[in-house]
Amino acid sequence: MRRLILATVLLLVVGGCSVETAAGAHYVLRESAVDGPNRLSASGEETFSVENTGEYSHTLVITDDTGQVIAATGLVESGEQTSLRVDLEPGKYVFSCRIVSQDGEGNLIDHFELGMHRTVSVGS
Amino acid sequence: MHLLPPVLNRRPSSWWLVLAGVCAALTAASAIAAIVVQRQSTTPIGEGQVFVADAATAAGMIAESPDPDIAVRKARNALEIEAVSLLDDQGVVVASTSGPLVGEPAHDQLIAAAASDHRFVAVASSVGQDLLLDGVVQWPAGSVLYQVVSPLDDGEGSVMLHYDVSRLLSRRAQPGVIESDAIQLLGLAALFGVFAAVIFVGHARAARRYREVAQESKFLRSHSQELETANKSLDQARHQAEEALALAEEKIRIRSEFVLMINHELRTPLTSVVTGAELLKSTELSGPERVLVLDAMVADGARLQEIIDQILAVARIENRGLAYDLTEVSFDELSAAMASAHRAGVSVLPGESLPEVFVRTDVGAVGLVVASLVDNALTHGADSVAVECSTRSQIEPQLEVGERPEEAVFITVTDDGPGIDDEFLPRVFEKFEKSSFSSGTGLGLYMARMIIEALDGSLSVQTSPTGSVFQIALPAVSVRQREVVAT
Repeated sequence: MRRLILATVLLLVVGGCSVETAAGAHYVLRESAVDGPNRLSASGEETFSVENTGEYSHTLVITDDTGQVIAATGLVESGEQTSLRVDLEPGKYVFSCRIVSQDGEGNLIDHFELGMHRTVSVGS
Repeated sequence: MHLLPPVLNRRPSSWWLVLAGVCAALTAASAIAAIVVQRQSTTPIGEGQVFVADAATAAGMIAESPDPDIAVRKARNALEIEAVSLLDDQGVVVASTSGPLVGEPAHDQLIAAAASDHRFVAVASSVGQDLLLDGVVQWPAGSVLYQVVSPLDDGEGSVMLHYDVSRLLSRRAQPGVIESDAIQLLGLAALFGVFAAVIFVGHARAARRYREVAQESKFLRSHSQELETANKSLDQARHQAEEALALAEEKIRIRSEFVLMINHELRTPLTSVVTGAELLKSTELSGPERVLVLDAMVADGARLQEIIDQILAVARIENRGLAYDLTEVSFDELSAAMASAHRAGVSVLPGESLPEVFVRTDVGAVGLVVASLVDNALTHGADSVAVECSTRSQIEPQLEVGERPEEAVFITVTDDGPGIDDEFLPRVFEKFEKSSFSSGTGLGLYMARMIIEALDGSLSVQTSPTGSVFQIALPAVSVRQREVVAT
């Protein structure tokens, strides 16, 4: 009986975790975050959408855990949406915006350090 | 009692524990610092500071060199990056380490806007067209570049840097590398940890040893007390044995003296009797002489009978005890009874008349004791003896046997004899005890003591070289007590 309950709970937990394929993934860029799924299922070369809902221009750069760039968008202006075609092997990746600028007082505005990065696990 | 050596007799100082705690705290602090350093080194960070520094270096070289082409090459070689270019106010490349870029506008919109607005900006993105470096297609369209533009100090143009994004980020990520600072901090943590462990373990062992030694000390102390108690018991037993031995020796001495006394006291009158009888038998004596011999024989026989009676009386008392029929007699009746002791050399002093005072005693037995005390005084050299009854004690006793009643009537027998030796005084009421120069059985005062004790009274003595006083204390019954008893 206890095993049955445990199995049911596990099924519910696993079923509750959303795992999207890259084709269906949608990532949103804004000033302090990259929003989107944390887990993706690898299914070969896929395309997912990237939308900039922030006030300024952003990019989305995908790097693996060694820092190698896997893919990147061009500059995505505020309010625009683009698509990115990727072929992700199983592993961990960092989805980030790699824009650095200075304000009028010379202070660095590093989008990555402001929180525009997300670690995404790609399963097999 | 200190049974421990001085070093073990002290509890280990708590300051060692404090020191161990400080070392443990330093261990924890060092470990935390190492973790923080390592996390900081491995956490991906933005590249803004690198870009600003590199752009400043390149701008400085460009400013110092009159030839922009040479300046950008020196900057690229110094920075070891893919390309360094010089842009004009419109964002057009005027000098570059990549010749094909010269005359081209900045490809990235944001870069171009920043160059025209004299702002700093760094953008990593995919390029929209092939990018030639030194005449070779280094980055085809769709490749990802990091392009940085930073305005020059003179406000005329900007410096533009090209980075290979993967190369840059890979160099900065350094996954799995443990920083040397973290290693040093970990070593420091280990060192403090060892110190803390050594101090703590040492203190714990010292404390445990102290506890063990303290327990041993307690054990030894308890056994020492037991030994002390046993020694005391042994001393008591030895003392009792010595007393018993002394008592046995005393009994032996008394018995020997008794034998001597019997030998002397019995043999002397017996010899006199036998000699007298032989004299009467073997010689021709005149009538008066015969009478003298016969008188002497009678006196010696009487002496023999008296001695034997005393010995038998003591033996009978010791075997059966004394049982008197006590009756209440008045003080005046007792005084009158004492008058019977009057004889040559003995005066009975008239006491005060106290008809309300009664004595619960056996008058006959008391009379015998008084007579014995009188005889004892006359035997030991007294010329006169006085007997007196009183309700007050007449002496400060040097020796008293029996228990003096709370309310008593006293009978004193005072003589003018030579007194009692100090050495003999403590034994004056003991059986077979007699002074060295006296004759007798040594039973008279002993019997007097036994009789008085049987009458619930006491017998005491005070002596000096000018005489002795023996005092009998008998329990008195007042009129009031008699009335209470009567009702």
